[in-house]
Amino acid sequence: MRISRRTLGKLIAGTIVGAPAFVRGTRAAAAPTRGGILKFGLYRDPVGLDPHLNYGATSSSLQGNVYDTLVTYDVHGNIAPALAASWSQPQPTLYIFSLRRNVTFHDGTPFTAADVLYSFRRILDPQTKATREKEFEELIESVRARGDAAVEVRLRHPSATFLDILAGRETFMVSQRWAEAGGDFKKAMNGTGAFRLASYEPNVRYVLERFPKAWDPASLDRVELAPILDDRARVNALKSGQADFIEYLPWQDTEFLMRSRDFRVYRGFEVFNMIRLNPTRPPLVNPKVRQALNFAINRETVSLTAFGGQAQLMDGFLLRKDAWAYNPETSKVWTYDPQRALALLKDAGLQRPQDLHLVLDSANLTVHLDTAQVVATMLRSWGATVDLKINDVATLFQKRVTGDYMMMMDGLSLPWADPDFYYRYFHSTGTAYAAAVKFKNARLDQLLEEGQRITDRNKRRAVYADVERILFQEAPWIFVVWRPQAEAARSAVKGYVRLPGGLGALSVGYLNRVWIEK
Amino acid sequence: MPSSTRASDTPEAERARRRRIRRLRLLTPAAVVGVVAALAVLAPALTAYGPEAIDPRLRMALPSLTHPLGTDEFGRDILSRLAFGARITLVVSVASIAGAAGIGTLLGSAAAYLGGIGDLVVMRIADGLLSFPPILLAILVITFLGPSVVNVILVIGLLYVPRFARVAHAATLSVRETEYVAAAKAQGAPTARILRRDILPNIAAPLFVQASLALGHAILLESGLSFLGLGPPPPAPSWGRMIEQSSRFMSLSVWPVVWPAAVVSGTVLAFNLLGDALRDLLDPRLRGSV
Repeated sequence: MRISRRTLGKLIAGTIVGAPAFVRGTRAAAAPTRGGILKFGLYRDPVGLDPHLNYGATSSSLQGNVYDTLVTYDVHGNIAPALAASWSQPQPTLYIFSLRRNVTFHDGTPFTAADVLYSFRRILDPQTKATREKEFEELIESVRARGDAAVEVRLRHPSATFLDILAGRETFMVSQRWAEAGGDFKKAMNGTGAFRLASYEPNVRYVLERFPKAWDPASLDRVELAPILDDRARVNALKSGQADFIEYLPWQDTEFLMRSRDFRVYRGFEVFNMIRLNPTRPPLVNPKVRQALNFAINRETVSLTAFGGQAQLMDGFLLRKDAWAYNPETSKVWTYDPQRALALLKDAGLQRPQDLHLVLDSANLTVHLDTAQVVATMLRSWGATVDLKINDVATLFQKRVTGDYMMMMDGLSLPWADPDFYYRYFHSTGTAYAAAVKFKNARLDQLLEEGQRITDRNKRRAVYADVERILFQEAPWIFVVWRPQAEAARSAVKGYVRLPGGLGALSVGYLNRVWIEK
Repeated sequence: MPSSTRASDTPEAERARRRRIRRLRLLTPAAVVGVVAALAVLAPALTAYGPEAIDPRLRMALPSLTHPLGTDEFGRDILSRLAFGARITLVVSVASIAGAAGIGTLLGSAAAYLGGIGDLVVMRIADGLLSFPPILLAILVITFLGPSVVNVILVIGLLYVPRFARVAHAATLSVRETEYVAAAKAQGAPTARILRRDILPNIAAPLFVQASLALGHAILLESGLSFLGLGPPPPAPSWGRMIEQSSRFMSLSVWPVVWPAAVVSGTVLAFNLLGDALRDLLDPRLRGSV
């Protein structure tokens, strides 16, 4: 059959015009349906319920579905309205949030500006021991209500990340009336989120029920979250239909599930495995020793053995290629170079690796322990003595907070995409590392403070390039790998979106977007 | 029909046949135990690879000439890990059972010989410990003390002290009434000497049998604790942890699980059969049976 030029032109035009209709048609067919129960296999027990404390990703996922923040992230990772329907910034240090109207907490009390003020006060109260207490204290000058439906927040200095802080976890809005009536944040949950906590039994099950009066209601009727600690059991629960959705999919099962039409895998690389070094514990007092350890690690081997080659090497710092502040100059500084490691040891006054006696703490979680084993083996074969100590998660959390370790295997996700995350880790008051182990570099502190206050991206880019240069000199951690972090679901589960830009770990906190195809 | 008389039917031939079977029942498990012991002793000479040496290019490799049992998920040589793991397993089981046998025998025989309130107290404590499920008590103690080889030895030893005390107690009760013990007493021999020279040699047989059976159980317990993550910390090559760790990768390769599982089962079975054979050999009532 011959096709004339005109016919061909019509066909191409028809295809171009018709394609969006086809896509729209597909979308229309895949519209969310109401109802259904989602059985969710958690990696571990959520441990704690307090909405202003960080107990790790699993707790944060539970909290994110029950509580709301003033602003949130949309599916593209941009800041979007949540309990604040809109906001303005008349001055660099002044934010005015207009609150969403007709929002109620799960106990029926209305959400007002008084609740925002109470939530801020609670985060700032030292007795709460809130994760964001220091950041709030350092950043917020005053919070005032403007009637019932608006709040004015005045900052001590301009901040490039204030909205990120509010959109992240640990700044959830809570009910003042409920709290003052005796509500215990550690034993119960009362938020404005799409789901309310109907019942829970620690280590067994957490039942979330759809909250019909939510401002952004869920499609699902119920979510049953059950901790399934064993990797095999969790994957088998998904395969056998006992679970519809699981988190922390082990790497060895990823490929199989990706090939299957019955399941869908959502994978990202925003979680990184690193080893915290305590600069107050000899021999790690000397930064050259810390640098040497970074050069003594073969990250390729870690990726291959602990993650089947699926992990991405952490040969730089925390800013990656897709980040606006990415600096190619500091992106590939950690290479495997035992000779350089040896030279650094000698500079530090140690003649050989055999003079290093190290203690490495790790949790008994496979995503940590496998990496810890490989790193310990590599350091031992280099000549160092490494005592690998295995802790349960609660003990490791305690050691992390008190700084009671020499080296600690850990896995973290970035709190937000902005490079200000460095402040949380490496500013001397940083709650996520430095404060606990008394890590302090005056120039680094100065740069991190500067990075928060200036808003011009070009200037900030230069600041964070300097930050990474100092981090190379200080080597506060052994930067290991960006590990594959994946969730898997039955193919009937729709609407789940893995947030981009380093926000992937927050994704499970948005189950209101999920629905089940019938 | 005339009956045919064969050489094997004579009482002498029957006795010889029984002797052969008894010897076989003793030597076969003893040979397996010997192989495991040789594996432990010769571990460094068996392969060119250290038990912790990682080879990322050879992860979960099939058995080959260079790696006769293949490699695990980290590319570590399974034969080397089994051999070095045998050291840990044998050291733990032998040390814990030797300690338990020594303490348990002393307590049980002394309590039975002396009687009185001491006997009552010792045996009630032993009964109390025996009433605990062994694995639960082991988990409790290891969780409290922390996982290490020494702590696993301590906990397994603690679990077996009452078992040896019970056996020694029962055997001593029957021996202490014998004439030779009465004669030693009449001669004014001190208690320690009577226990050492007159009682202990005469209660040794059941204790040997108990020790052999307990060794098998101790290996199983050590492997179980390691499987639960309560044994020596990784990357130390313990059999239980090898099974646990590699079982996560069974969808990719079964060899890293099959070998340690087979070795644990074979060794435990060998110790149990050895215990049975020793009992048959040392118990005069069973000496004639096959």
